[in-house]
Amino acid sequence: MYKVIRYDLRYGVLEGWRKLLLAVGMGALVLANCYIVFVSLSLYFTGEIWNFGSLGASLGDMIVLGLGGNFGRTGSGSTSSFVFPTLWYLSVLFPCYMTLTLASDDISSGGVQIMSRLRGRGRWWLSKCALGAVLVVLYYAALYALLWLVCVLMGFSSSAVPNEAIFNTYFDVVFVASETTPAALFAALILQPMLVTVALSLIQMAMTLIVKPIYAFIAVAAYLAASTLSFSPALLGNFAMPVRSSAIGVYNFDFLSCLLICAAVSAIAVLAGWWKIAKTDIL
Amino acid sequence: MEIELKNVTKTFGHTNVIEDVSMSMRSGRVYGLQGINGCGKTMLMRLISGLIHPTSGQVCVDGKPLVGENSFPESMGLLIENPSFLKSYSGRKNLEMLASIRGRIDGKGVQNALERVGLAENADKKYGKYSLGMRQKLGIACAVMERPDLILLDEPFISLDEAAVERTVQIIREEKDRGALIILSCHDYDLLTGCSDEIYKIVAGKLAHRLVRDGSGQFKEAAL
Repeated sequence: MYKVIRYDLRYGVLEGWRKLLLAVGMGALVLANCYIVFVSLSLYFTGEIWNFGSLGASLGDMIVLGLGGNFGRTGSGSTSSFVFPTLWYLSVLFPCYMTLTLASDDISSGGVQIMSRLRGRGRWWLSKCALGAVLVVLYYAALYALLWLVCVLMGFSSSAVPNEAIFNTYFDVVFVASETTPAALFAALILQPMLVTVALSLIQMAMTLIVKPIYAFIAVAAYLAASTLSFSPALLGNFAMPVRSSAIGVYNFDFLSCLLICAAVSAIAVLAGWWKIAKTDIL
Repeated sequence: MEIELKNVTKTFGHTNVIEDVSMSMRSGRVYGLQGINGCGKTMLMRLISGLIHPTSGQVCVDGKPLVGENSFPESMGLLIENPSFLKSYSGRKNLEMLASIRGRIDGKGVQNALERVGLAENADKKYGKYSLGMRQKLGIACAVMERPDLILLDEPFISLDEAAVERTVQIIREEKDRGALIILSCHDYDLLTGCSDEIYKIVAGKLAHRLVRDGSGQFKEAAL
């Protein structure tokens, strides 16, 4: 079993390295967004366009501004507004796309040779799940590494703690949890989106054993979009939005619940895929 | 090794692609499958290899049915339809990667398989740059490299030049002499009769005839 996981991780990651360029593309989008926001904040705070140094921005700000998600519908009555968090949405969909055809492509090509050598479909499936999870983690690692690098080059703080003034101005919501620990913020900003994306990718991969990959992708995309409108914990996207995390404090999507729900969803996806692949005819 | 199919039927929708097939095969023999396109040769091979499950009946290897997690024969080399490998790696690397899963052979074993199929000179070329014939040779090398007890070769001569066909026939004979059970499908009747000890003719998913080579080397009709 371990040999095939090693095989898949080594060659699956090497073979799929081009897909990881999506993380670089996502990083570029986040940086472009941050640039626009920082220009307007710089103008607002200092009256100068490019006085970014005086903003006191951090890595946490870049993540929250670019990948934070939204607070849902804010305001009331005729002043209520809803802004779809496009960047956050893409940041979760990209890794889902990366892992979309890992199982379905392999099953109709070289996977047959691997399965016959393993004498088991389930072991092959577990290996694909491991590869999918690793690719998602690598995607986020590459994305955050890029943002961190730009932070360092720009002279921003590499702390995960967002700047309260920037946060309050940008979101028009009071930053409640100013006492939140860096560890809690790290979990909210970095770990929660990763865990949710791993769970969604596994569910999606299991779905591709039943329906065409495009339908699985559409289902995940629709499910994720629903998270931007509703605050139900049944919609995992809520846990992947840092601004809705308990660390930020406006909503209460906490890390422990995220961990438990994502572990349960991932386990269900793995078991469902195991069950399905055992019954599937490989044509 | 002994493979036994007991009243195996495979249905897709309302169509029986394999219908009530019972047969027995043992080590050290080559079994040829003959029939027109779509008669069920490849489906029968997929059933024996464990890639598809029978709708009814059983496929048993050494008395044990292929079910559950162990749905594949223990020691099997497989070439079914178009072989598929990682395009950005060389033929050699592809075989080495697959060989590393079982760990039964090392680089020398892979080299040996490549030489046997006549692909040694192009072994370090990327698979994506291979011609159809080279891909087929790599598929054959992959099927035989670990010296498996069961070898399934579905149309192994497709896209091969004359010399490669001769080499493949030689490989089949060597593997048979080694004691492997080989199942071969082929549209060229001369090649099929040249390689096989028994030939099963399949018509519309059913076994229609069984020809067995006798002591004089001639094929004679035998009971199914």
